Amino acid sequence: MDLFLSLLNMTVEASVPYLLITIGGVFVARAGVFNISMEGCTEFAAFAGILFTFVTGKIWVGVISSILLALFINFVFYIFTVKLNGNLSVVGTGINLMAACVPASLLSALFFTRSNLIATSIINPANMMYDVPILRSIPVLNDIFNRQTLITYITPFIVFGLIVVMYKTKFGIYVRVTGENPSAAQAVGIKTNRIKMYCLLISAFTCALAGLNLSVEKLGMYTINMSANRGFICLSAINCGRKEPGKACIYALIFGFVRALQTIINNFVPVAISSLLGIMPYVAIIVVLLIVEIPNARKNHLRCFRDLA
Amino acid sequence: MGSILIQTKEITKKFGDFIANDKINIAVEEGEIRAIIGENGAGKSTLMNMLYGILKPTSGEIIYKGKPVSFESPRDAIELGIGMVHQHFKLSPSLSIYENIVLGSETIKKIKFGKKSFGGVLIDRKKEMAEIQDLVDKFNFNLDITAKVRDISIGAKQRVEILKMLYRNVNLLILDEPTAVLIPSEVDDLIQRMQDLKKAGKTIIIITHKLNEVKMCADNITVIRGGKVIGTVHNDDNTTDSDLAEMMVGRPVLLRVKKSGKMPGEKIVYSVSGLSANDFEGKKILNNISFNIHENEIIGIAGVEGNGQTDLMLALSGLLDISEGKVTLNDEDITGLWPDELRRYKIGIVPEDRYKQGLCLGLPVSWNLIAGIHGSSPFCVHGIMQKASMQENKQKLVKDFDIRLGSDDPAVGSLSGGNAQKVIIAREFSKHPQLLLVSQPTRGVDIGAIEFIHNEILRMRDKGAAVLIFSSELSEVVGLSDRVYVMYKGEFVGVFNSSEVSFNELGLYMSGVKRMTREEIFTNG
Repeated sequence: MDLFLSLLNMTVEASVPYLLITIGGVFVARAGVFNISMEGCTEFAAFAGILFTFVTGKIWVGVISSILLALFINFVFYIFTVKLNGNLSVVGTGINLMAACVPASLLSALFFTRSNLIATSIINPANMMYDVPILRSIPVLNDIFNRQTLITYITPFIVFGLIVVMYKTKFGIYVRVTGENPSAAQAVGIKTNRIKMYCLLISAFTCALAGLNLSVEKLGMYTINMSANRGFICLSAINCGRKEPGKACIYALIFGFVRALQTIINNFVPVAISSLLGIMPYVAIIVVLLIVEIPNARKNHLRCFRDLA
Repeated sequence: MGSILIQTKEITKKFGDFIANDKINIAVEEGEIRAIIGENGAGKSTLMNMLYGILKPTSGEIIYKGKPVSFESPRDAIELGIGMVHQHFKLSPSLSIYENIVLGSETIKKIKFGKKSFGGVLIDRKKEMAEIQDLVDKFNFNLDITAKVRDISIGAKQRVEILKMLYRNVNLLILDEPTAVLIPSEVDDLIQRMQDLKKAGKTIIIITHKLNEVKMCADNITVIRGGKVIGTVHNDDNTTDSDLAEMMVGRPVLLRVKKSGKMPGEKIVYSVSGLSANDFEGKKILNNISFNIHENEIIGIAGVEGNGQTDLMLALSGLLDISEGKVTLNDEDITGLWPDELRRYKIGIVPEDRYKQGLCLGLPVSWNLIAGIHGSSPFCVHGIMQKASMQENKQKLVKDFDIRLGSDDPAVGSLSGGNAQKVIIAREFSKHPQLLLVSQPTRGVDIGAIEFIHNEILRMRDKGAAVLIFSSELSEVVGLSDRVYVMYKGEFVGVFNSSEVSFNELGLYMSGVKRMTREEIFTNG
């Protein structure tokens, strides 16, 4: 029972970055931009958060510079791809490759280390967890939801808020039309490029929060490759959820659960196998998609794509 | 009649050296329905795109309500009261009808705080829906405004586009080929609506090449050919279809197909028996379809669109699984074969939607002309494409089938509807097929090309081919075929000799009022 509760507790904790990256990414995907650089954006944000906290000694400077850097990265992405019509994969891969080497290079140049930057002298991870008084008295919920970080608590509000934005506001409609039929949007005077830019900035903001959650909040340190492919996994969550924010977030939760499961199993298996467990999220998505899609495929009698017939 | 609403003075549009519109002068009065007719490529759309602010004239000016105007974008035109419904709809399928109509000018819910109210962020759906429902009722448009656009028929989509313009309060409505995509009953409906809008004081310009519809609705008709105005005539009994056709094409045209009089042969080429198929939900969409086609024979399939014709075409061309039944070609079983396997038999397929199923828009004409046989000699040797023989093939077919290309080997996407269709016809017919499956051969195709395509189909028949034709144009099905089957709800409900049946009689069967028993169909067929 304790193990199960701690599994759920870790699921909550692990799902946060997935949910954040996914919900922001849904906007970009819905606006018709294929953005593979969420991975790089998250990595840079995680790095900048710790770097600026460490250098200035103030957490809020780290947080703000991390968000600004993420916004800047996606703005650059916007300029190159949407404005200048550059290839999405090339620019996205460029950002991801930079995220893989710039932090390492800066770490060795500034701190003579290539692997990590520890800021626990400024950030005490234990102090980042909040003991919520209301939860404390409820037995099971206390074990699962209490003593999480600030970003963990605001994530549900961000997710819910952005779902409302997508379906209940002007902006949300414009995003959907921009992705679905840009000429319909342009015909009524909607500036599709600007819509795409706003979506990329939203995604940058949520990626930054995800990065901050990983580095500043949970550990007080940055290690190389901290985002650990979460950006790519969220890309699959978005597409498995057919770009619907609600469904995509459910897939994000599944990934969070598998991630937590992986962490727990790690304690019980030899090292060689625990390295292999990294494939668990991918296996999980294949299994889930098979279960969801096989009944659909069996009913299909068409031998071509539906929109062709 | 009122005063002149919109007028062009010596308006000219050049694309490089090509003159699309050459010093065009037209004047449209307030409250009239003006038809602008001409063949594809005559410059009708260019002219309208200038009136709507999509293109800027090279020279000349547009005068609207007595004042010269110039548009930077369609938005400027809409603000002045000029709206246009394009042939390809600009709608968002996943949004509902009313959301599409109000797109770009949504109503925002006010937040009330005591006596003051502030602009909020959420959309006021209730208010929007009430407003649109009023508009729908006012013009009697008969739409469920909460339905998603992806679920509604093409005719309904067009009504949504028109409403979108009416919601923005336009006075002048430009309709670009509005009937090209509609089924006959929807066309009648549209013409009725245009008359209603005229009564409500709107001015309408309709671009088309379908003469009978022009005759039914227009007050005046302007004919354009080769970028020039040939003339404007008043629509009365003195103007006949053939006069207009001659003005459009520049030579006399046959509006009716002329059959050779050759009788169908005795030999059964293509035989379908007991064919059924199911849809996604397991519902029967094709029910026990049986027919034979002899050599030198054309069978037509008539029916209101959506009664299984599309599915039958998909099943016969290998794109839909067959649940029961047997299909034979010259006594050889070809049931359930895939399209590439069917191509090995001499079967020519002209699909319903030429852009989705028949052509690859981004590829040049020469490549499209070998699609389906691209893997075999002489076009491909040891896996390497043979450009020289592709060019040779292209030159021959372009000449034989009179395909008009703007440049040497342009992408198919840049061709007009008629020429794109001719690319498919050329590809399929040049294989000397024993069997031709043809769907909507002349949809969105201009008169000159229609005549050509009809003659080609008849020529294939006279050479011995068995032909199956699907078309939403009843006159086409009956005019070309020897026998015509009527489809209703996925079944055959009647069969007739094409030369003896009246359209009214067919209409009764198409709408399900009358039907023959299976035995009657069998003995008559």
